[in-house]
Amino acid sequence: MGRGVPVGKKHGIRRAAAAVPGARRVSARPRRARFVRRQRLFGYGLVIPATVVLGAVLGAPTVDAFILSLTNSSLIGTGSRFVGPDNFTALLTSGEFWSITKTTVIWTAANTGAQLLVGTGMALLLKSSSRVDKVLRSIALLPWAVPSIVAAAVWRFMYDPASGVIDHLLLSAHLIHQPVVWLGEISTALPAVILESVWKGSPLVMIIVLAGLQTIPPEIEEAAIIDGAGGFQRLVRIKLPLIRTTLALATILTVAYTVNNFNAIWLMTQGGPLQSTQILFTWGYQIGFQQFNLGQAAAISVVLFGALMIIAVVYFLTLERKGRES
Amino acid sequence: MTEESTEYCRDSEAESSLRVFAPISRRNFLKQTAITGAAMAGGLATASCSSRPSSGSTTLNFWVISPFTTISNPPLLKAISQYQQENRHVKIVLNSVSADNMLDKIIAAVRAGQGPDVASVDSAWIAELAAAKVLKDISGEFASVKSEFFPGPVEAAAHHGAQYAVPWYTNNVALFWNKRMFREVGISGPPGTWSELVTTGNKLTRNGKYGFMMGSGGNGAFLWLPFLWQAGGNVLSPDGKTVAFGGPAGLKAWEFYASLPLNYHMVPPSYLAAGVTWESYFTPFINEQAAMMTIGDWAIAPMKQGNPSLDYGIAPLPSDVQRATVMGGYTLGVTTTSHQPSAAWDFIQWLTAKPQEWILEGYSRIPARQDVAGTTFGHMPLEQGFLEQAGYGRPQPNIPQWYTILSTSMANAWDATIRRVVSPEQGLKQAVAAANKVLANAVTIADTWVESGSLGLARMGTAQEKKAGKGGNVW
Repeated sequence: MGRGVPVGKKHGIRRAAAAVPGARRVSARPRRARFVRRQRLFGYGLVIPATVVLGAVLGAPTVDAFILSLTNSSLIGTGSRFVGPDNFTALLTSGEFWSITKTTVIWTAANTGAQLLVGTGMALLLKSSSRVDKVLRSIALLPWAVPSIVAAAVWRFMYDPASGVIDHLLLSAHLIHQPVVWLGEISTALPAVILESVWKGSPLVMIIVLAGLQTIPPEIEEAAIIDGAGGFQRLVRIKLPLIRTTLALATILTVAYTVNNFNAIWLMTQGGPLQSTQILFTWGYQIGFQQFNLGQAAAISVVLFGALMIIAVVYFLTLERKGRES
Repeated sequence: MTEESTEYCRDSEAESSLRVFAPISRRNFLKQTAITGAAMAGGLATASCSSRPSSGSTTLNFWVISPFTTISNPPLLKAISQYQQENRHVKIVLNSVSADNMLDKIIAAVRAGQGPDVASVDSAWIAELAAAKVLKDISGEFASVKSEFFPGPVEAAAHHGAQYAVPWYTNNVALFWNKRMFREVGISGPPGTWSELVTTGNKLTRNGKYGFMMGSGGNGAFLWLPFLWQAGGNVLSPDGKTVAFGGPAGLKAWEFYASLPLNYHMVPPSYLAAGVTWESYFTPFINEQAAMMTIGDWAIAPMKQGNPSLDYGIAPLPSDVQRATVMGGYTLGVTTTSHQPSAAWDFIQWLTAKPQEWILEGYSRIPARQDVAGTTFGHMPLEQGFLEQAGYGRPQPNIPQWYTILSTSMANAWDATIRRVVSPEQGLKQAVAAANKVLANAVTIADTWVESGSLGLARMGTAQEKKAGKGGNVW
């Protein structure tokens, strides 16, 4: 025998081979392990610079905002003093905060629901690979590609009662008898801005859902057809459950974009009239940059951040649990 | 050879060629990265060298409000290239900022150390900008040219006796009236009193057209100020600690102002959305849907572009107990973060000097210089209306919280009033309460100024100082 090397589990097969007479002792396994580890370290090394930069660019302002929310810093005053939780208590006891939070929730829920419906609907309608569908998909993507500032400005003009196209069409079709001031009335301002936002954001949901639909093997649907499942049953019982994770992704992305949608609201109504379209984000901007109260603006953004984190964590945990159960 | 074997040969050729390039060894990878990196660094260095002006030259960043760049063939651009030709070592980088954004943008930028060298700022913002340490004190440089400008705008651009900006152009709010629409209903001239405004407006409201355009939100609140003063009211109390516009004169003015849309229905419904920008405010007049509106000279250039054939006149505002209008205008200042303040000052001085009066004329603006007023009005007969009431012009209160009071406290109250959420009287009370709260929670350095009746400049008492450290709660 060669060198008397104990054959143990630790050294695995190679060592056992060494126990065979005439076999050359190879230490290929440890060498491979070293090679894999070096590759992994190399991978980390490539990723670390980007991570550090991202961490600095995202992390530092977040930490700064947390610190700022504990002071009474002002954009035009001198000096800032630590005031502890004062900003937060003032925020949570102010009626305005709660009513704006309610508006934010309505804004987000309505937007997300509508965008999921419209986006999924478009994806289901246009999912084939025919040329017509390809062209229609590109056209359907246009609203998302238009810069949000341009979209908000154009929709604002469309909503103008005197020179806008919407009231003009509605009047010509005798659906209304007086021009409606969409962005000026408290009852119509929020729905009007939501419509623009749904128009703008649905293509993103469409793209995500399309990608998800393509992962469904066609055999499953064929089997369901053979079993006699109707179109609606196939949709609800098979397709939707299979793209559950995709829908979850689309939902969380839409929620994130919608809650942070500054342009649509700011350029169309600036949160008015009378705070009927004010969301936490635009309100924070007003408090910070128009009333120059940075401490309170930071408090608002911290609250918003916390709420979003909780929603995201709860959402994914629930999803994971459901996924494991099914 | 059969087809199969030829394919096989081809495959092995491909395979052998692949083998030459295949293993990207780490050494090769790092070498390639290093070479690319060095090339990029070298490229960046040369690129930045070429974009920097030749040694010894200065670059000035000039932020101007967008009306100065968004008309065709802007005179300002011609002026800047002329200045650069006369001063070869100076390069001026122009940045156009919308007037609605200029105030927040410049405060945020200067605070972050990223501001411009020169900026055009509304004379109503001077107190705020001085308190925020955004503008440089140019009292010394300005002293030699001070007498060339109208005293009103000069004082509006000063704060605590220090000069923070040079008056560029001055304006006031006047009554724009559509001559053709007036002729059609047989009215010879614009209204001169509040009651004439009502009868004229009523006559002109017919056939889907309206007599008088108004603003909502902040625009509505701003355009109400002349009515307040015409009724004999004041914005602030003499000690500046509270607002005085809730008094009997203020109530009369507020109720009259609200009666125009709510009781007489002489205002186009689109006014409910005319609170965010000025464009939404003067569009109905341009489209001849409204026969009258009150606004300043900043509407003239857009109107020329939107409807050059519009036959309109500019008249002094109707009066009540007295005549009054709100005086405004823009000024040019040097920021505290500028690295070349003396070059910036030279540019400002050139821009506001007599030979450059043609620039403002190109925008239908009235220079704040005393010596060009005669020639300017000769070129612009339309502006006579502004000139006639210039003596009755009052500036907005010169306090740092004014913008917040106007655009939040008063704007919200006006929005609630015109939507009948509250009665006009309740609306005014709300405005007073909210404004007093803003005044009491001063977040800026306190000072001791007392309101001067004729100019409407406001000053505050030292009680603010104690509360200043407490962090404003403007809810």
